[in-house]
Amino acid sequence: MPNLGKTTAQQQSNTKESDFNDKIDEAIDNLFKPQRTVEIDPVTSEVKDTIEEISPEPDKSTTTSGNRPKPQNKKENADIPAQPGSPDIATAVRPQSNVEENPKPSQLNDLLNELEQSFLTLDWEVTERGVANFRNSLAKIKNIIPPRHINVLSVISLLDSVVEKMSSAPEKVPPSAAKTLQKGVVMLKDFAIDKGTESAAAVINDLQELTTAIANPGINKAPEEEPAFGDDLVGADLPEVRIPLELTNLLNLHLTIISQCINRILPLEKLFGQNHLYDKFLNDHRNVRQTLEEEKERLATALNASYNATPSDPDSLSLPTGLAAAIKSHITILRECQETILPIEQLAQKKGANKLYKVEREIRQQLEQQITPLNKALTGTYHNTSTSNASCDFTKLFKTVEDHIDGLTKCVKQVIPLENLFGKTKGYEKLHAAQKRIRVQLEVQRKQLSTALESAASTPVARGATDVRGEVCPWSKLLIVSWNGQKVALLPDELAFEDVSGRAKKRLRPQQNMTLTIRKLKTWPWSKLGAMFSGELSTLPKAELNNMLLPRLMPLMPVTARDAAPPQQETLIFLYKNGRGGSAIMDSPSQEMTVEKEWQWHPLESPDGFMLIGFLEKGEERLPVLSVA
Amino acid sequence: MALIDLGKKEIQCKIVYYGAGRCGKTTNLIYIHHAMSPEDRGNLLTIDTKGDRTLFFDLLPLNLGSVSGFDIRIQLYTVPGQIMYEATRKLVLKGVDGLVFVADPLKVRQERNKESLAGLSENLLEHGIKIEEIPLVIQYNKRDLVETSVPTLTVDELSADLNTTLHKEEFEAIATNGTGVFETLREISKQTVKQVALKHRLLG
Repeated sequence: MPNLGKTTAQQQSNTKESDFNDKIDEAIDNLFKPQRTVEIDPVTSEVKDTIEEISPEPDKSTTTSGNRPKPQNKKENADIPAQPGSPDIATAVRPQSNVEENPKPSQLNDLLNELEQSFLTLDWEVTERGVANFRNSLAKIKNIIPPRHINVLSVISLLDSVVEKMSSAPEKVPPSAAKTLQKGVVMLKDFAIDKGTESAAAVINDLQELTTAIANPGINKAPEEEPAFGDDLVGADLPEVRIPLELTNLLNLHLTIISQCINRILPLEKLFGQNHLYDKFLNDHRNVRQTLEEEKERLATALNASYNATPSDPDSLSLPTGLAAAIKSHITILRECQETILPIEQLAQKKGANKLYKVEREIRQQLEQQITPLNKALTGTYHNTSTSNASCDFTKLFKTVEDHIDGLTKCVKQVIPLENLFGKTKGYEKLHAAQKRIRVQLEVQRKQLSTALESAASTPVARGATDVRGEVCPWSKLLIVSWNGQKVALLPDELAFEDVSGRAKKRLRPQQNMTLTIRKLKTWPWSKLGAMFSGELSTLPKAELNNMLLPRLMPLMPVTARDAAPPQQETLIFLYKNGRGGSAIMDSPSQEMTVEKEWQWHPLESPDGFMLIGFLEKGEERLPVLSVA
Repeated sequence: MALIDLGKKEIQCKIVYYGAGRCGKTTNLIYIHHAMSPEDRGNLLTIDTKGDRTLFFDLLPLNLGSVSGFDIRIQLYTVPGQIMYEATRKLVLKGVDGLVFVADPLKVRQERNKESLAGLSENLLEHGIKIEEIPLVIQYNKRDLVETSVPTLTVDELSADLNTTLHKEEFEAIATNGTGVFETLREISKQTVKQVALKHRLLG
């Protein structure tokens, strides 16, 4: 009776399954139930206990099909803290840490922990935000490493470069990337605990190979193939564009302001959250905050990302595409915020809440005032005012910020009477506190912007418009080279190596590597490196030269369409002074220039990185002077 | 796909809370984490930025103990809801065994809910899974907002938008105070574990 046997087996199987299902149901019902009730603050995600323990009786509704639990009202206001945590203004206005010659071990360790955390996040997946965090951590560490640790600094530069490329072309990232990055992080940690930097050379090599692999996935397959001249100027790997420093600073400030706005809105959200009558306000403020948060993220990403040069109007240096898109998007967001505020304003007017109506209206108008200058700044090009590309006209931007400061001053004046009014009226203590916070935040913003503006206006770039007289040039002779189509001056005693033949370029492949291992210049194993160099580099011990890595220097300005023509005679140079140096490919060999009396020297008060130290000016002509020391 | 170790008789199921940004996926997990007994759950791992929203995912392991000789563990994941994290969402869905789709009742988010569900369907297909075939429950979160003046969608409207063709179990919830959170969890856990057992013929 085979059929009967089959049926019995089936029955057994069904019983087993049913038994298993019952056990699963029982186990899940018994285990997956709350042991205590908590309440989560929807704004801050803060968790608060509402009842200590739940009695171990079965759950209210076991399951399921169509069995929708009746929603409970949220706990009444008693459970919600009376006052939201006020934003830490002291933290918000704390200035960025300055470069320290000798980093404190604890400070370095903290930063390395932060870096490792960012790395672990990146290890999970490469996203723009993850990359931005990682790069921020690297930048902080770089700031506190003394310049004599050139290998460590090289590792940092390479890590930064690798991660940047991972962000721009994640599809090209090889699976080994995370491991290589990890080696870099471990090397930095070893350095922090005084284990030395022996592994640096190997890590640097790995990182260089990784950079090359990401930039050009096929390069490892045919290492003998030298890229054709100019390959790095066209196609996918366009040269990087550096956002003008002043613009970066202003956008960073704007980022700070957005953060402060978010901090201002948070307490209001909590305040409105305490009473159901204000649900609409709560919701609208929440939406505004969310959009601001998204905008902040977008702007931060835009600032941290790298931009490729695209052919543009030869007479202008327009904003990089990504950055322009970020500003456009910000304008859109501001408009959305305005639209969100408008109904609140109308509601307040209808309900006779005149003061609230007035405040909301003022906020909306202030937003409008921000949109207009941003639009102008966006559409205005940063054109050349002289023969040098470096002399961008930032007058409009400075004016924009000045106007913004005026706007903030007006805001403060509007808030003060409201603050006083609420302060005098009983029962309005919370509103009074909120208004006070807004005022303080606005004042902090105003102060920050004013300081930044004063500082930015003191730079030669800004002074260019106001024709401030410069000093006598401290050098009698300078070397003039063309770099990325821009004429720049170098200090003669810093030029350590110059190769016009192209042989060194072939050996070192500077187009592909962010750091050059200078021992590769040796024609024979017994060749003496010292003899190849001049200046300070020629005096260094053989062992040091053999292990030395020189970072690639980035040009000051992007290649514009006008300048994108192939250079006359590409020349590889090394600059080196006071233990710091770098390499660059110039468009032509250097030429000595005797500095005439007419040239006036305008030093930069806070030099941009370690390259641009100031400008020489003669009439309409302006010449950037670079130094690595 | 569930991780099954027949040698150790261990089943590990992956349940993902999916939905548009700000719908309350992480809040669900936070509630479960805080409300459950520490012996039955692991630590909530949240990979995000300081005070910000979920950047990658949240992970909460739950231990169901031994059932029919199998040690059953459930891992709850969330995905980042923001539009820009599409790649992360796809990645987190890899190996998923069960899903909770969390819907936001705000009228302004109506389209986002639909887009998110459509995105889920597409992302699942990329992993070779049909949305109709995977254990899935739909949670209508933030029902406390219904009683306020904020424009919200009714459950019927939400259901018409999201569940007309799927016909999945639906739950109303207020994740901030726990209403409906465990009901949702229990249902999806049961469906998932049973499906995994059935799929892998673990019961002989």
